[in-house]
Amino acid sequence: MDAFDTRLRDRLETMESSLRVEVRSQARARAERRWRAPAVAAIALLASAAVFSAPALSRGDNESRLRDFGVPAGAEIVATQADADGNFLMVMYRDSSGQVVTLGGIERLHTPPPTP
Amino acid sequence: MTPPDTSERPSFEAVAAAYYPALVKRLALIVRDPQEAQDLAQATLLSAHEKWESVNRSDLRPWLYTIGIRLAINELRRRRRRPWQALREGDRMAETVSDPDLWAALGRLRREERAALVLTVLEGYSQAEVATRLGVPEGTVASWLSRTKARLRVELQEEEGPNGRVRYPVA
Repeated sequence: MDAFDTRLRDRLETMESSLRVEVRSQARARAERRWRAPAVAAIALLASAAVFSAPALSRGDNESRLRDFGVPAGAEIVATQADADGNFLMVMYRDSSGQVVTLGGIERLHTPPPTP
Repeated sequence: MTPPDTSERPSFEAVAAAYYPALVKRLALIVRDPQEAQDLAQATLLSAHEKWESVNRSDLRPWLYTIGIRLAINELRRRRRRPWQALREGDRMAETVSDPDLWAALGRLRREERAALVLTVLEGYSQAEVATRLGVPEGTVASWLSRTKARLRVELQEEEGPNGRVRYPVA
């Protein structure tokens, strides 16, 4: 690391530490959920840090909601996260090959909004 | 195959809580958008959680940072393939940073270049290590860093004075 790198590192560290990063409030997250539900799920994870330790949802009680969210019929539910209204924000399930699949996350973040 | 030693490892929740704010800031340096940085930090933790049981690491912080930076670059590539998904390379943090000249100079770099710069200058990785972590050839990383540092030297207008002191231009 030469002198320029050292100065650059110092300036980057100072600038990084000065960044003001706002943690989204739950209210704002709810306002965004129509467009950004997967991201909001992760926000909730960080807010509560308990999402993955929550007991997995019973399929029988929520079959149609899980299907609407994109979970295949018969899949084993690993974990779920829902907002205060009970809408799913994130579902993790085990597919027929045993792979854990997460519905929600950055891949769905920028999906165009549904046509009214 | 030896199972991972998890006896001394903190819980995932503890790691997530401890590293999340710093992870967001680190990603904000690269993506320049506070919302996207948060989205990526959250996606990073989701990805980390999926790998958590198989990970045996004492260096969890750089591991998380690498996941996040890879996601940032992959997200950029994905959206380039889907032009209807607008890039959010905004400058919404410009008014809050302590070093606006550096912030602006970084903004004129490509996201991949900023990522390589951060991984080498802030994390101390070699070019070969950055290439491995970002999944690109080492020559590509060398090219990014060479071009990036040359541009920053010019744009930050640093020049060496006598006795190695740096003279900054007078605004």
